Amino acid sequence: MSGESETAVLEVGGLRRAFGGLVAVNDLGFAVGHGEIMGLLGPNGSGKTTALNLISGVLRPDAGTIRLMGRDIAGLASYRIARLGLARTFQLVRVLDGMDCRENIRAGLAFQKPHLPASEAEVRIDALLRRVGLAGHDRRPAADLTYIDRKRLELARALAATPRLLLLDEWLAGLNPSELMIGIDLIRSLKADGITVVLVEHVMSAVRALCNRCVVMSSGRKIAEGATADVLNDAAVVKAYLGGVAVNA
Amino acid sequence: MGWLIARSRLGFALRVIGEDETVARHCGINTTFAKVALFTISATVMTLVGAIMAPRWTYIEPSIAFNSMISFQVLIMALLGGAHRLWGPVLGAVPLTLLFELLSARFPNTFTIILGCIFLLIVYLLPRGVAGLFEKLAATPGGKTTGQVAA
Repeated sequence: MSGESETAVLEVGGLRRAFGGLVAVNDLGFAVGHGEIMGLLGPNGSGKTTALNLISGVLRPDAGTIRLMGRDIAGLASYRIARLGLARTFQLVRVLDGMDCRENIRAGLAFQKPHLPASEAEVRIDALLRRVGLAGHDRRPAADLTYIDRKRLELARALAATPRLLLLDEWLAGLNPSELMIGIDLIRSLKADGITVVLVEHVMSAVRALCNRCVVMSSGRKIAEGATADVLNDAAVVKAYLGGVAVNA
Repeated sequence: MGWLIARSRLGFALRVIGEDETVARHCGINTTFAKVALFTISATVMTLVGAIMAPRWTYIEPSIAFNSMISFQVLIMALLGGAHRLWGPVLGAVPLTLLFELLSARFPNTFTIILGCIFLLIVYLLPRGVAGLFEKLAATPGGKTTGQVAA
């Protein structure tokens, strides 16, 4: 594990959330170090998105601790968590269709503290548009964008908040091979900005290329954790992905 | 005042909330505060109007002040004009005030049902109001539109 001397950006312990009788996340625990890109893997329905929703404050955990930069954020309202430096994208892309690209990104930075002066904010929006490859589209309504461009815009909005931790929920899903390469490079470049990333992803080539470490979930439980190459060859993980019975690791 | 709100950070927050409330929260917007703030501002205006009206009318009781018909009429006016534009409600208020006066004088017993029908017509035929109709006509070259806005 890298960066042991630094405090973890995100620390999750004993996290649990049930919907009626279904325990979606059960005793989940992991830590993400500064500047790391950690993969959160698992078959469909294994509780990855629920875990992200718990961390970002969409859902309240039934039990467990969530620490962002050492501060307990479990059960905090999501707007507070956002202001503490956590940004995310959604599995089903959510952009503000009635607004243009500029306004979409402005939404990401206008409500952060400290509050940027208008001129600085505009410069930042231009930089973000260029960075995600949307330069020249600034006045275009988000509703007119193609699928990949909507994803780019959503990422730009998340980055606008200058997050310490970014949660990407299947951001690379549905991209063609060349778009995938661009996407991977974009996520890799976040490391240079000191942004820590938790990546929920099914595209294994991207996971191999980006993540130094992975946590694998199945039926709400963590079944494996470690270096990406080791985890992906782990017998329990292979079994979970190929439709074997739930494995208790 | 509406123009000021629309240009303010509160106005922008409310537009983001209108687009997608979950996204708004993840952008750091305190959605509850923003919504309560807007209701407070609009309620202040209504309170002032009430304070001015009360001494003129000399007699006022809860059934007048909390008459659901008034809220309903205001809603129809906003819808006819176009609730998404600042000048929309003005556009709706003028003709409808005249129409309501005429109708309540000539058909005092069936006024409520006529009001309901007007409401239905507006929602079905002009979902974005007169303001929306104008914008659509302006956007279509030659002013030709589909049959659904023919009314």
